[in-house]
Amino acid sequence: MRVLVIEDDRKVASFIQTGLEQEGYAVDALNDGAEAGDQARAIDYDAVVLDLMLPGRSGFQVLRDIRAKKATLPVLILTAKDALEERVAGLDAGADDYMTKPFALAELSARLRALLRRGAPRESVLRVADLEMDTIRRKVRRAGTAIDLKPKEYALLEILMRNSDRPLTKALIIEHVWDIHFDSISNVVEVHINSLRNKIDKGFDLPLIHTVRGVGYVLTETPS
Amino acid sequence: MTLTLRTRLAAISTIVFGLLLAALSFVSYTVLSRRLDADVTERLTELTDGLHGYLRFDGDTTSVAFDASDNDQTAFVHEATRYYQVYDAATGRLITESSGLAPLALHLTPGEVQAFRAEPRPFDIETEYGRLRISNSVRTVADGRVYLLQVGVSLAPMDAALARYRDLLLWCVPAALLVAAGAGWWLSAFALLPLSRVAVAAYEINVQTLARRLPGRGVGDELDQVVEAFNGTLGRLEHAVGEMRQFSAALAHELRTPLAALRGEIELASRTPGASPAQRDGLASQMEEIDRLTRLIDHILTLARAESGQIRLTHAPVNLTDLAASLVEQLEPIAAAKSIDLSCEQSGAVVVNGDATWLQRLLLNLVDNALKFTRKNGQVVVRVTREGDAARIDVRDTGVGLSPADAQQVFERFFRADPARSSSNEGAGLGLSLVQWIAAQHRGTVAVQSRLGEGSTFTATLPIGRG
Repeated sequence: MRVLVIEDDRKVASFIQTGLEQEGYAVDALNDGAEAGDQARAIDYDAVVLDLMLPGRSGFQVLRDIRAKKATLPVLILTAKDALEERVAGLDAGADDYMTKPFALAELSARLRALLRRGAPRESVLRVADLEMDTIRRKVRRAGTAIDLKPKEYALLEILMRNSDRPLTKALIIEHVWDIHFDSISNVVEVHINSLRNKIDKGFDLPLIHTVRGVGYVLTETPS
Repeated sequence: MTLTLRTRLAAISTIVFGLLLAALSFVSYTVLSRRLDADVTERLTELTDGLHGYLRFDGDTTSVAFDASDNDQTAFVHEATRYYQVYDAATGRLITESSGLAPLALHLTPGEVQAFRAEPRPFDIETEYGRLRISNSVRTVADGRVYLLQVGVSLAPMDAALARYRDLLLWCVPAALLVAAGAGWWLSAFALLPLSRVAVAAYEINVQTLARRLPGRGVGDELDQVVEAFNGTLGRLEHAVGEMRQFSAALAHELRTPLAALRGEIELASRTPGASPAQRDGLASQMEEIDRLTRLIDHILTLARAESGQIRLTHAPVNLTDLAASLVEQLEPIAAAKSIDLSCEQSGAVVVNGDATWLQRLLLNLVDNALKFTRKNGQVVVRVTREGDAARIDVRDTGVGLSPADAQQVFERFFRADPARSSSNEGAGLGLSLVQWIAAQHRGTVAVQSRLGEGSTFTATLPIGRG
């Protein structure tokens, strides 16, 4: 998987590059917009991470350059602009996802994975260790025992299972599970994780839900 | 008391006009009365002098001799002898008294006769027929006897004329004043009409429509100068607001990019194998602090954008009852985790015209605030009711409450009541400022009633828009 990172701040570009390389991506970083469009078209990238405020050529122009040739190349906008109008403008201009700075690397890679997975058939039965989720019947079992979950707990577990072994940030979880902007009540995730732990992990030797301090939560049978 | 410009203009013109009328009345009345008085005195002199020519003195009697066939003489003598009397100046004895004066019994004492003899001057007396002016003149006849002649003339016609004139003034001046006040009121409205048009146009300009300008009339009068000055101010304001908006965008960028770099570096460092648990813990704690800082920046920027008019709300029917019920349902686990009983009371659907996302934010911030300041086993109740033409949202808690002084400031930015009483140190005191802004955007208000130690009730009142 090859990713192009277009970001004018060298420090930011450098840690994205390092972080993504650690996860196995091949990463090219560009610091201005002038040649970004050409490079994105010339090389067969799998995804592009694009800053909007760029010297040389604005991120929107670069996005248009890319879309002119590659209609399906996943583009994730990464910017300090966070107003609703700006998000809408970015997505309307053809971006596939939008993230505001500052951000967690874990979230960036989760979003990139989601973009890259797009179009691939979604599993209807998810499994992690002896935990099983049937997404069609909406049934959850652990070690063969049916577990009764409330709708929010189910949605939370589904996103954790679809991203198993990858830590998810609270922001990402909130965005996918709740329809409210809970940014002021940050413990909404903790509360639901706790009740989920009570139902999934309580009474089993192998806990599956783990807290990754400073990042968020991960569902895995092999915690680091 | 403040008066409108119109009232003041009308009042000033009326007062000036009134003063002018009063002065004019006073002057004309004074001039007229002096003039009439002088005329009477002149006539009295004529009568006195003329009567001397017709009077004959014979010892203790007098007689009037004239040509009865001469109509002029007859008329003159008739007038002059109507009020007259003659005294013997030496003894002060009354010798002759005309039939006109007799009923009045105007008899001088010898002392008074002597005084008038020494200084023969006219005087006025009041009688039941009106005022009389009486002249004194001294006549010495051939035999050496001295007589005092008094001739009178009625002042009643003059007094009546003056009274009529005074009545005229008393009626006409207030009437004229009324007319002047009405005309002033109407005129000032007419003169101020363009000014109120300017005011209406100016009212419609807000922070989102700063690019608008007031239309001048192009005649270069004082009003056009006001319009020009106002437009100049608008221009400078537009420039300043533009700079402020750029500043908030720049601030967002300038703060977020280094934070992003910082957070990324720390996250990378925490992944490094071989770091001790203590090191990982320290790094994680730093990341949490960065996230907190980020949330704070987000809140400040949201509020700054809101207050500088960069956020536009949509308007569509929003069912507040459903909104509150769904919010309470989603927040219930959080309340349960703190052993707080969170519930929703409602009576029928309450629908307002507004922005669902922001109204949800308003409710969320109120409930969040209530949960933050309510202790274990407390209670938080959300109630949505309709009150006439308004929707009323009450969020009542059995929390720590606010002192009256704190209750007054609770909607101010960065205000936090004693942090020791909060169950968490989350938040920067911006949530309620945003609540107030959202309510104001829906032409509503938000208020708090609280008792220290007993709990608070926050009430948002939103008018129910038509359609």
